[in-house]
Amino acid sequence: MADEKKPTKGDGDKEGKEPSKKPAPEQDDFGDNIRLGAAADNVVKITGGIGAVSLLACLGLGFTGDTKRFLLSYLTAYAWILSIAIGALWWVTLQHLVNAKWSIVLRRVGELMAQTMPLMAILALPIIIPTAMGNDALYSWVQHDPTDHMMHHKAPYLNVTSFLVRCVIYFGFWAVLSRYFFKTSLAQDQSKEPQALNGKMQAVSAPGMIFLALTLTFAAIDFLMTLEPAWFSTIFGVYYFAGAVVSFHSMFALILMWLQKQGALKKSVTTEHYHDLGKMMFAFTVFWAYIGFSQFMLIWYANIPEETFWYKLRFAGDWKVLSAVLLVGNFVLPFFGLLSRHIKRNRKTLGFWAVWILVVHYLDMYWLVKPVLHEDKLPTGDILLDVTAVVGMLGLFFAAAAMAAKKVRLVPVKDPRLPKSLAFENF
Amino acid sequence: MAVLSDVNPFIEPPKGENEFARITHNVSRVTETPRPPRAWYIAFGIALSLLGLFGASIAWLFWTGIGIWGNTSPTFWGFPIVNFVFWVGIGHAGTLISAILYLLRQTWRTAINRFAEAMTIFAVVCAAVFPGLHVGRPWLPYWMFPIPNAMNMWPQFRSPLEWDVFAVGTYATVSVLFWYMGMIPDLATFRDRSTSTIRRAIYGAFAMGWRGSSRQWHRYERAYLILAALATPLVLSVHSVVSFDFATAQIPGWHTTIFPPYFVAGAIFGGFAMVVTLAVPARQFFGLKRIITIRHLELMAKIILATGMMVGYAYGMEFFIAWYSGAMYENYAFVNRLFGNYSWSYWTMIACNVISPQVFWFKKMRTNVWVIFIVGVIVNIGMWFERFVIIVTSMARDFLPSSWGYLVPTPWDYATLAGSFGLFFTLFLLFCRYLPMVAMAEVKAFVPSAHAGGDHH
Amino acid sequence: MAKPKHNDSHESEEAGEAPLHGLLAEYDTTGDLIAASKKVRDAGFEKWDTFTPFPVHGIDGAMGIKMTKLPWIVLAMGLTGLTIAISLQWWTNAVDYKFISSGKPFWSIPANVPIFFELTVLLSAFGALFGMLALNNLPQPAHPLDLKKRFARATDDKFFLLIQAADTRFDETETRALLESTHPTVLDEVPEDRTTSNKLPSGLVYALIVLGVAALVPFAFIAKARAAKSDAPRIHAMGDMDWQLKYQAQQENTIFADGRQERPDVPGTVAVGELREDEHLYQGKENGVWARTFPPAIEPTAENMTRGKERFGIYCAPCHGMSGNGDGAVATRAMGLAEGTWIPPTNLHQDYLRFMPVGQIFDSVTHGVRNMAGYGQLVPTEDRWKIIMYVRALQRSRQTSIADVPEADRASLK
Repeated sequence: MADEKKPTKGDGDKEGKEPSKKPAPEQDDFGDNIRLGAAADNVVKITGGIGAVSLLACLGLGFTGDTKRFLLSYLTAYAWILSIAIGALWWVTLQHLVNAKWSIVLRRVGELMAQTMPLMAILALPIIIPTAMGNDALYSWVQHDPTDHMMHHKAPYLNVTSFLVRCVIYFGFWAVLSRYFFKTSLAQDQSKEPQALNGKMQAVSAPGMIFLALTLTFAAIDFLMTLEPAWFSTIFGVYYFAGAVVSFHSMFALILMWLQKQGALKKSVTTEHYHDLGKMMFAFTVFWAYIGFSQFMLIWYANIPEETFWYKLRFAGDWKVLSAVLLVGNFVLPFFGLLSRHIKRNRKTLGFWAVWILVVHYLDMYWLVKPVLHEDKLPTGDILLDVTAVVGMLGLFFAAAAMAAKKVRLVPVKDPRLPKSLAFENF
Repeated sequence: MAVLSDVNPFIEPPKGENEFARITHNVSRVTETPRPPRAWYIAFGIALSLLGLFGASIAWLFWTGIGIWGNTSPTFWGFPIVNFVFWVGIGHAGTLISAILYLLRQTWRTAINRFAEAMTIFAVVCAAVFPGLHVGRPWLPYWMFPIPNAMNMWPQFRSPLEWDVFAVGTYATVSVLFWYMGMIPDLATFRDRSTSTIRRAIYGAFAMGWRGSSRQWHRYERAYLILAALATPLVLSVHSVVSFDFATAQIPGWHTTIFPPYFVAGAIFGGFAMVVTLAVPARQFFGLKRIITIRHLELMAKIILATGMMVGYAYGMEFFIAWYSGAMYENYAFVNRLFGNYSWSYWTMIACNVISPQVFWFKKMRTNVWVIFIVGVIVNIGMWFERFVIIVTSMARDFLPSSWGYLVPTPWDYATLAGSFGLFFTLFLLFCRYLPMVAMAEVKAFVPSAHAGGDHH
Repeated sequence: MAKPKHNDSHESEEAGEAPLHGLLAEYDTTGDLIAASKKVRDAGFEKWDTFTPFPVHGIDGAMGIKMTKLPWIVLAMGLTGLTIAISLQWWTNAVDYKFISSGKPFWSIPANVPIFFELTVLLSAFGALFGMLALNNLPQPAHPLDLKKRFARATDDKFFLLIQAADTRFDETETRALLESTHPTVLDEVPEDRTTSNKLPSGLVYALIVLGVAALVPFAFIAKARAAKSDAPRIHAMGDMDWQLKYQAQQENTIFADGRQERPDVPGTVAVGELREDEHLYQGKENGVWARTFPPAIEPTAENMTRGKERFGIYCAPCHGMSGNGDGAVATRAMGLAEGTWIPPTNLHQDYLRFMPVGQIFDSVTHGVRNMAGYGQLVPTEDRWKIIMYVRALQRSRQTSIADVPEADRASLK
């Protein structure tokens, strides 16, 4: 329960009150329902409640069962949900950086999704705390053997203290950046000079993007790549980034569809916006395949033992099947599925592929994390842990975003670029 | 300044003409004027003499063999491959501007896309020359193609060098198609404005009877969109494949998984630098300041800054993982880059590629034509050194210390490099003189009066 | 040649002899054109078109243009390209010309992916450009509109609308009235083009013939070169590459006192891996006598036997035959040719061979015997022993009785 409440305190409360003083008139002015209202409360209560219960169940199973298996299941789900939140933060930063116009009407929803960053920090605790306490069930480098020359060489990076420092930097930076954009964006709703605030946010977005790239890369290395402390790949951060972007856009499209079902943004968000989200899903599906292929092909071709063992694990036994499923499910099918503009412009078909991509992206995380067990069989016995972790985190993610959304407009109404966003058309 | 006054009259449109006519007029006059500006002649003269140097270098190379170059054990890939990768990289911005910026609805690209595309093609031509020369047996390059032959042999498709043949070949072909297709409406404009029979016949033949029918425009625009969508992954693939040449090998400093996207980012970075290097004088001398504005240059400066940061990220990741990997050869390769006997090239690269674009953080710098031009030239130098660092430093210090060496370029290495610029600029200057340097039809579609009264849904 | 023709066309145009091709309306703005297009569309015309210097936003809807099928052409071409790439690489590297490169399988998909991609894109791009041209009926060298001087501005700054007289709804007065109601700046009649010749200019035809013939010349030379024999030495394009400054095998080298280029081993040294102390294994002797047993390293396992059989098939069977009867393919052919000098290979089942010590057989295999060459350089030591082990098995196979078959299997032989 504590997991769920904490982030929202930091998020919505202060911001929510300012605009709530005079909500009604603007809302009418806009000509569309841009408030979530009671639906937000339902999400917080019901979805958040289910999430909290599910996550507690997962933790309970973890305490009673095998710590390593629990931590791996937990990390899989966490890497998945974190990628969506980071994707949201990246997207918001990017829109400011390139001064995008088409997306203004969607921007606030993206900001709200990025408001889950404090929650992400809390959800990371079950990973960070055991590591900090010297438990090497998840990260074998925690208890490093001084005679192991390789680990000794890496010790300046792979040690608990520097890991903790980096975690503080990652989550601190992400929370601050997402909060800055959200706060400034809300201030813009009241502002007399909205253009100036756009300039301000653009100025922040450039260095923000640089630090985001670095923190994302090293977070991916710390949480996922160091599971096999001997293995290394320079492209690893980009690989995680590609998955984050494609799954964020899928989740984004689904959330927008849900919002419209609740009666919000019905006129503002048009087929054109979905078409663009679909294009991004398509483009980054290809990008993911490109990065994944580059990493695999180069390691396969050079065939150096210190690199290939990582793939050998994933091509042994049942893992081979999962690798093939990833290739087909995460690239071939969505590629042909999203090729046509008619599919991207139809909410049902787009929604189908969005769900599909989120599922296969979870499998991607599973494929990154679980082979650490060094077993030939898929660890299907841990399915209860997997499911409770995913459901728990997803529920809390929605609750945290809805909490932040409670009292704010879902569209940055004063942004001068808004009319262009409302009217734009694809070619 | 005297040069500028030559063309200034062309900037002003005939009295009473609308915006469309002014665009046609400004762009067409560059090719219709009987005498191009004096600067064109000077530049063309220099380019031709460099081209002559190129021809002489190649003739001597064929006569004597590749021993005239400095390539020797262990640095078998010396200048020729550095030049190849350099030119292929330059050839990326054109298609990027045309395709990716088109898909991203960046309408400002219309002012610069045409000559960026031309630049792409000429750069790819320059690039393609080098592997051809480097094989050392100029009568045998047909072995690279799957042609049934008397030896009953086929090319080896599992080799990255063979992938290069297909990647660069496809890229050159598709770039030419894309460029040519974009030019069809503008060639029709030239045909319809021409006063001489020869001009009419030649431009007419290439315009293929384009008359601006809306039914044809409809298919044309769809084809353009599709080509853009095809060219986008193609741009990524070309330099990725070039990076495979290195990254599939095991040489420390070559084998690293980030090479594909890193090479692509570097190529875009260098390509844009070349675009601004060419755009600044072109708009100056041909009176295109109203079409290629400071704003365009500023946006390109921003892209240079952004891609420069990406390249910096890749440099950083390479270093971090080289240390993190714990592999001693990797470690050594990177320490050697910093402090070894090629460290001068490494620090030149860092200064040019990572430090110099930082001036673009300031708007004042981004909007100063001279600063943009100079940084463009510096980045081009830096990108050449990047390839030098990757290829030469890594090869000169391989696994066996007994085989270490130091590449000493010969005068023929320098002559061939300088000569390739001659080929590039000769082609580019001919293009400026005889073909539509700006995509008129596309620029017209985005001027305000193109939508006047039009229904907008 | 061209000039008088040009004048002719003007005269006939002015004379107005040609039938009407259609009515041409000219507009100054895109807005006027779109409004006019909607009217014409709603009037139900089919054979009409508008001409603009750039793609006008919204004209597709105003004219009722249907979405082109070009994407399907591109998709089909792309899949063709992919198929070609797959079959080309599979046929050339995995079937027709197999050789090992960088330790990869003959058919190794990760290494073939780049070319899959490139050829797919290449053919798709051809499909996009040439498909567009074909659907648009381009190139289209002549058109009645070309005779209208004003029409040249369709590629500059004016907007035109043409309704063809061939349209079933076309009626000169009514259609004229319709177009007038759209307020064109100019409304004009377009006559059919009866003056531009459909034939190519004769100069161009001759030029094409000459070029076509010239293009055949290189092929003629190739054909001649392939058919003719020549005593001339081949051309040395690059002397430095053909006559390189290096020592070759068997060449004299004055640096050394003995003048030999290839150096013998330094006396008293043994190269790594060349120390062959084990007399039994390397010479087939035990205490100077031919060994009757196999060296301990060569155990009679199924694996060794299989290896021996395989090596025997490669090195021995061509002469001795698969069953050791001395009737291998080489021997059979030599007998068939009945060349007098041929000495038939030994039948391995002769008694003296059956009782010969294995060490002596090993020596024969290694250094050769009578007409047979030594295989010591070709076949590694262990493999030679395994071959002999297989030969022993072959010999034994001729000397068996029912007692050698396990009782359980005897029934199957009856």
